[in-house]
Amino acid sequence: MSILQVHDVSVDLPTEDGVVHAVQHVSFDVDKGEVFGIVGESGSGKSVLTQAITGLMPGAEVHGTAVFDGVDLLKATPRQLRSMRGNKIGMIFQDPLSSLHPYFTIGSQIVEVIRTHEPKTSRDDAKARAIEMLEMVGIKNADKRFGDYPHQFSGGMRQRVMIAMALVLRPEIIIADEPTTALDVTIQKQVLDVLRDMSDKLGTTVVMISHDLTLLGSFADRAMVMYAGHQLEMGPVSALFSRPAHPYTLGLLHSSPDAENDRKRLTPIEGRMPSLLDIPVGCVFAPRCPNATDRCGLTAPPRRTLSDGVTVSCWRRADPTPAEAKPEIDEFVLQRARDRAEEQAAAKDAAANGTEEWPLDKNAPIALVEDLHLTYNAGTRKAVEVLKGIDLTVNRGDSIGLVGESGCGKTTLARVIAGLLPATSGKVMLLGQDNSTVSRAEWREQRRHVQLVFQDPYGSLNPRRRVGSIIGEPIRIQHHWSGNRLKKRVQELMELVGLNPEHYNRYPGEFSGGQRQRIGIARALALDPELIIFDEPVSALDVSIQAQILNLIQDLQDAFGYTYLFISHDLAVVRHVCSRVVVIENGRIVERGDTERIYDAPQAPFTKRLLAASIRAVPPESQETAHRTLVKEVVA
Amino acid sequence: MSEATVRNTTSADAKTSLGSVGAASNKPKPARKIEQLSTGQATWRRLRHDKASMIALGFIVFLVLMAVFAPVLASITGHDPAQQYREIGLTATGLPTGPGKAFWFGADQLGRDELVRIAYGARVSLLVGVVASMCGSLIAVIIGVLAGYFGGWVDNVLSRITDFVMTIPFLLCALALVSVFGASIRMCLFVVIFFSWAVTGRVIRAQVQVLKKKEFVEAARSLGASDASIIVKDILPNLTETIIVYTTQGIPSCIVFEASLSFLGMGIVPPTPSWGGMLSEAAGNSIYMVAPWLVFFPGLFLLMTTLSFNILGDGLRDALDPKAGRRMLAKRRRKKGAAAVAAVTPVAAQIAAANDDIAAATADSAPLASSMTSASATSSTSSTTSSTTTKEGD
Amino acid sequence: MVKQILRRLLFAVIILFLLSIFVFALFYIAPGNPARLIAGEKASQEVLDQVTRNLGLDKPLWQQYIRFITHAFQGDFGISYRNQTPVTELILSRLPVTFSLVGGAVIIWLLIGVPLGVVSATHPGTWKDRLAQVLSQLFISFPSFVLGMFLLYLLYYLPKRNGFTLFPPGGYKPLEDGFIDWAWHMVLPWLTLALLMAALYQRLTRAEMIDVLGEDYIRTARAKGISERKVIYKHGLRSTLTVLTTQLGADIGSLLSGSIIIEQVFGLQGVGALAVKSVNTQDRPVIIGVVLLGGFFIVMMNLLVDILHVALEPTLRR
Repeated sequence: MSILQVHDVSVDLPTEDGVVHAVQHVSFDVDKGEVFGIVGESGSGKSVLTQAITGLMPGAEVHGTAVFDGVDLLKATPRQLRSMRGNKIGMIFQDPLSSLHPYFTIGSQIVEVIRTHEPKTSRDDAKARAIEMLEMVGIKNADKRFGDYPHQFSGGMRQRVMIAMALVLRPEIIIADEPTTALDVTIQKQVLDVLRDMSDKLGTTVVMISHDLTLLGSFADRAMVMYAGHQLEMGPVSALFSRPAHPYTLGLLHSSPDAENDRKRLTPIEGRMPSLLDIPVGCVFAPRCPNATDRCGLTAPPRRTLSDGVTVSCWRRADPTPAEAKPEIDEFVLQRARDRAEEQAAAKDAAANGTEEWPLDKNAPIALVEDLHLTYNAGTRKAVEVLKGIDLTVNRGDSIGLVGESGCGKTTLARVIAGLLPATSGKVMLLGQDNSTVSRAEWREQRRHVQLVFQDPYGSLNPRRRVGSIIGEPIRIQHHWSGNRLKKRVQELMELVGLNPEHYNRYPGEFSGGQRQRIGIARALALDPELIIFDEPVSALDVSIQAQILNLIQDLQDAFGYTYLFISHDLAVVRHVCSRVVVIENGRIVERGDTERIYDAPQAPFTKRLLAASIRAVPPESQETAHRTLVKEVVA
Repeated sequence: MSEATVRNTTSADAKTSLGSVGAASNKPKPARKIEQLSTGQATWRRLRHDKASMIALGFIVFLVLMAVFAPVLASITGHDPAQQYREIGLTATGLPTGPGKAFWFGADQLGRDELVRIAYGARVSLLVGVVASMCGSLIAVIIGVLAGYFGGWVDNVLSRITDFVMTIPFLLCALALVSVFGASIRMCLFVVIFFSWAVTGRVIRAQVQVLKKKEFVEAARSLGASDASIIVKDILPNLTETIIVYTTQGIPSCIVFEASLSFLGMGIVPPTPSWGGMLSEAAGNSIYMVAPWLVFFPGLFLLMTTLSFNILGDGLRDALDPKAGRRMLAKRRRKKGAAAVAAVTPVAAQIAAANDDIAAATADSAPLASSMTSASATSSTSSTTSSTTTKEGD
Repeated sequence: MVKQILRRLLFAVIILFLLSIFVFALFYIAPGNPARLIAGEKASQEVLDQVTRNLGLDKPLWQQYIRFITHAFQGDFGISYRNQTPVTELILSRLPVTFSLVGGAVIIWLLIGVPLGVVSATHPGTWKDRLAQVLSQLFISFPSFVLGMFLLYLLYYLPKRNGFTLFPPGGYKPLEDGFIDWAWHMVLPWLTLALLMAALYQRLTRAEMIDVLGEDYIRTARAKGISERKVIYKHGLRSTLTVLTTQLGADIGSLLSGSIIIEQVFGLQGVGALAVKSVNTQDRPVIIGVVLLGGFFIVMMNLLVDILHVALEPTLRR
């Protein structure tokens, strides 16, 4: 029995640049008691859809119908909608710190929901119900914590508070908008468990929005895949995974690090999402689709219903075929770069003649860390020991992953190795030199051999500098090149990372997130360093773009033999890029070893927990899916 | 990697398959391209479309011309600014003559030509306003950048000094200073500069602190760039908008400060004409009751000047950083999509910007709360509003 | 938390000290001989010397300062050169005027500015908003004395010329003599001050509210089904209080010393007017006293605001 019937809903948002067609012609039904997932990358319209339906977007133009509990939400008055929100429809949002009012106690915020919809409830009754709910979601000492403020809770706890607040009036349906995205992996699992538990106990229907298809794979019963405001595929999760009907779904699966359990190369989805200001001609995914035909670009595809419950909007009758995994670096460009590198090495040898500018022993480890301790605010009352005795050896050509949750010290460790942070005690040898005793000039020299790529594509590039200047800066500082020579080298680097060298003079603001990361990588490569440290380089990118960058990083290492230190909180990502993994918990290395060994047979309890939270159970193919047929076809 | 087939394509093919840079639509549409550059031309183009700012700019230009050509004006009317024309200036009963053919703006109680005096007064106001504001900004930038970038004891010392200056009751102290050293244009300038750099300094310090934490500064340092290079190349260019806007909006507050001092007899002293002084003379003996033009013209000019610079400052801020408006837009689009969002944008930019810098000024960790001059609510380009998990395209 | 307050208290005291040294030193460099002022132009040299010794002006500067500070702690700021009354008494007699002016204006401008700001923020882009914006822009740009004189002309002189008195031209009637009379005399000064400040607060409230209304927790509040009114006032406005109180504290603090201009325009014998008079007559003890008082107010208001912040923002507490 369906509790929510959404039919042909479109949402338009007027903006300064024109009308943004955020959602176009989406239809789906949600059955009572099930968990329904909506998956899509950023800009897919998944959040806009649910918020527009529940009346949280007063400025939007919404067309279509959305019938919930006998009422068409899109025709209801604001007052009717308001009485439903919180009462019959609960909502949870992504960032629990900013989603809870910082100045009111959590207890009062929960009580507020109760008394808004049931004003006759006494304060004591409301408080009792709130405490009961808090205990149900797993907050211990709920009666004491009733009077605490949101900032006094950890991230996972806060999300539990939000769940309690959303469920306290026992709504029929709860909409969870990326509830776990902002949380650590192990906490994510806990929160999802709470959500699942509550939904089972109270019989609540859950609509879960996420960008992570594999997360929905283990959590949802049915799911809908959205792209650029359009609905591409919908159906039972097992069918989506085992036999995706739409090329985009297939592309998502192939470019997500989680879904691939072995270390195959990721297949990114080429290109970028189109602008939502235009209504597409033909299929919206056609420009990026590896299976596209001419017809796809001219006429909008029909919506097909298949016998196992899957609906798909595509012209293809056969199953989609995966795209080829291309190399990220063009062969031609690669060859040129190799030639240049050889020339330079030869020139350097000829010029060196005994006077070594850098005592590099080709066989010595790149970095050697012994018993490293680092304490912030050492000696004061606020002293925090972040690194508690780290031993690590990084050999030439390694690609080592530093994995751990936020605050475990992996970022700090990387910076100490790079020489950017001084250690409190212990030894750090970088390229044969002790970091604590380098002179200023030697430290500057070191910079040529160690480079970093940062996490935030928007914050790591100076918005006021042109891209060419950003990439060329290291060369300018260290080698004092200028003019044409510099420009040529910069353009070569741009080609190497897949950017158009004619965009030399543009500002970062004109590039997308993925392209900005490429700029950051180009900047890191400029000096031909020995060691490149990647600090969560893909965490802020969409899945399909992630795959592009990860492939690029791999290709670069294959071509040029860099040594990598790869920091990430995401085990799946690390698995693709690194040959060795070091697991850090609370400033200590709890496990280290070859990637495969760690994933197949983790030893430390923390590693096991981390793995358990990251690996998601992929539902198996059902019989119906294996033998499915076309049931209905509706022309667009 | 073993299964990757290596295609022997040319560079061009590889690039096009990765998508085009710039316009996000499939078909390149130059009209839709979102202008992200803050070059002078782009700013000027945006400013030109703001009607209010253009009118304000027009008035300022007119004022400047009036000030520059004040002697010409004096020779046209045949009246010297300090000369008293008692015969034609005063009526039989000793009251000043009103606006008419002899005196276009009327005469004052000593028979002097109001129009000419206003033109010369414009010189004083503009001079003090612009010079004081620029000097104040210069000091504010130096102190703000040093304190914000280097932190530690440098920051402590400079912040304490800034706090101290902000605690001084400025009008009272100005009076005290002027009473000790006498009133003159130099003294006036000194006093105005002394009391106006502190607020801007605070804002700049806050912004520098935010910038310093950004990854691109860390990136620059990891490349081996020196502090000086980072300050000049990475920090200062990101401060230009704030500096321009604060300087422009500092001009009217400096002008009003000077006019207030002159009004109290502590600024520019007669016979040099200044608008504040003219108003002070008009208020004395309440002569303006019978000669309202003595208050009307100087008052109106003062008001129009201040208003114009304020409007221009707001307009400049919008023109320099449309991203503030766009950021607002994106936030609202995602969360609320409020009606007529399009119409709101120029104002939204102001709001976001005003709010940014208020947040910047009050987020400061100095012990004493910030005090702002009356011409406050100006801009900053600092805070990013993107959460850590912002994905591209959102 | 208590420690933070104590630290700020300490800073406040230090700053006041510095201020006193600053002002005191200022007069050391000043030309002019106060003894001459008191003794009179025609006094003989002996009288002059006597007066100089009486005033302690023959002692070295630092000694004069010590004497001054020790007396100041006992509440004795010396004697006015001009009319031989104790400075403290002089100032205290003027305070009610200044307090009346500032106090009344504060209430009026808060009642006008903040609600208008909220209306603007909740109806951005509409005619209500635009009108409010234009008015705010106008009044923010008005120099106070210009506005005061305009108002005097329009609301006092013009009615007067036509035979009736709408508002008095200024002057002050003490509160003890009758509330109506007191208020009637204060209306124009209040209006002048309040209109200027209301514009500022309208803009500030609007900016803050718009930003707050875009926050995630407002969306959550709406998702809970709370009435829009409650969302705006209980959830929204509450978050703007920190910024508003900061501004208010700073404004009151500086107004208590900066109301000079309004007092001059309307002939109010407040602290500001006292300051102007004493500057004109080189009455040093009074000037020092008034400046220190002004600084004291600013420092105190800032301290109060800091304390208030801790109450307003739970995140600042331990």
